[in-house]
Amino acid sequence: MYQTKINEINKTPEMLTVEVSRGTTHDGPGIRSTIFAKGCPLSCRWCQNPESINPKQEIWYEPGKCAGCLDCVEICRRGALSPGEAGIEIRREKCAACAACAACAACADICPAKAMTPAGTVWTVDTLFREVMKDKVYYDESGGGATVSGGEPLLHIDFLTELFRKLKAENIHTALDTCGYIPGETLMKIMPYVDMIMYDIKLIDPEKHREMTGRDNRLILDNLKSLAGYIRKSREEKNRDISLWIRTPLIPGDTATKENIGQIAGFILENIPDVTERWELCAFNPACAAKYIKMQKAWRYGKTGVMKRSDTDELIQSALSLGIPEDKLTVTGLIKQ
Amino acid sequence: MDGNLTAAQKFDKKFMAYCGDYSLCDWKSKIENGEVSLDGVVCDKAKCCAAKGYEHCGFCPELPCQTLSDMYAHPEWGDNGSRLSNLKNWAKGNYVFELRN
Repeated sequence: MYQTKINEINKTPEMLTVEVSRGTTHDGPGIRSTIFAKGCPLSCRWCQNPESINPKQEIWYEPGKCAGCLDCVEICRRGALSPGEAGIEIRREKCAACAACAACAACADICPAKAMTPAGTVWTVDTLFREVMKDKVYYDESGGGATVSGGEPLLHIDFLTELFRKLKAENIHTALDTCGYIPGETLMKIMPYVDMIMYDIKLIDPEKHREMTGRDNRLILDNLKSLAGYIRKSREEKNRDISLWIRTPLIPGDTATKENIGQIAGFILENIPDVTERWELCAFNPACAAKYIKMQKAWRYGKTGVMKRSDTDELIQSALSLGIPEDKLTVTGLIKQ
Repeated sequence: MDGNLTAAQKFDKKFMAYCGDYSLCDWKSKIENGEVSLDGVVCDKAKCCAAKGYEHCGFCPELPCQTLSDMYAHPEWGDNGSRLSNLKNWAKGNYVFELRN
């Protein structure tokens, strides 16, 4: 097989990830390992991980590394590659045979300069569990653990439920970062093994949500209300506390408006004030522009600059004035002035 | 003569996908290696062909069925007949291939 495979030992269900980052500190408490699953039901136009949208294997291409040998063009059995002005041009519609099919990654296998690489890595539950457990000592010392993010990790519900069950058996803290656009029963299936959940509210206006992410937000908001009910019930009946962080990406001109932040604040205050531990406003950063280049995709935010504290002051004041407690509101991703 | 052919021009049976694509089919290799049961196969073309016991869809009397016809004519996955041509050739023992047009 050409594809990067880490599943040779076990023939158990697989999950495709775009990255497994060890030593992360932003996706939950302490030092963590964050698993970025591949595949997402949303297509947010500002997406910071564009390689995580497509659930299938894809190819990264870095023109700067390309030696121009054209071995990839020769090996491609689908005629998807050709030399172009800016290196190799990939016709991605030909890179897979049909909707059920993935890129074979033969080009990545043969590329001597590693200019072509598979965007995804295949894991089994056991191999990923072992990878996460490598840093157990750091989790124990820092109060950290494992976070699954994406993409949308709950597209891999059976895989992740089993992974979290194994991690909880080892007393590892587990966190789930979800967009919420999944069937409600899917979310509830994994909750018994989740210590913390990071839940995105990007926009309240359903039309704007559909326009900017490709999907309506009704399911997302309904799931969040159900989740809040589950958290309350866990507290009351099982004395089990589950942390809930709400996350909102601040995208200049799109989500980072007084109107939208005010609407989200209103939703939180009306529906989930008692269970929301933190509302995190994630400031826009164009650092992922290089990913779009590697995916050979256009990105409308390529020339948008990083956000500064002064860009968020008005938004923060708007949320606070509506009654969001100051100790629950935080802004991440800002650069110093 | 064969020495003048590039790697892509030499025919290799392992690249005969069920659907007529000349590429490494992940589903085919998983089925043949016993890594997945037919119940777990997502690709409907692979599932159908493997269940009937054919090496590829070229041997199927229903060729081209509606499923394959839809795929060949799909705006994104379409190919102007190259995969159907491959299947017909392979069924006759004529091991040549056309890349997707």
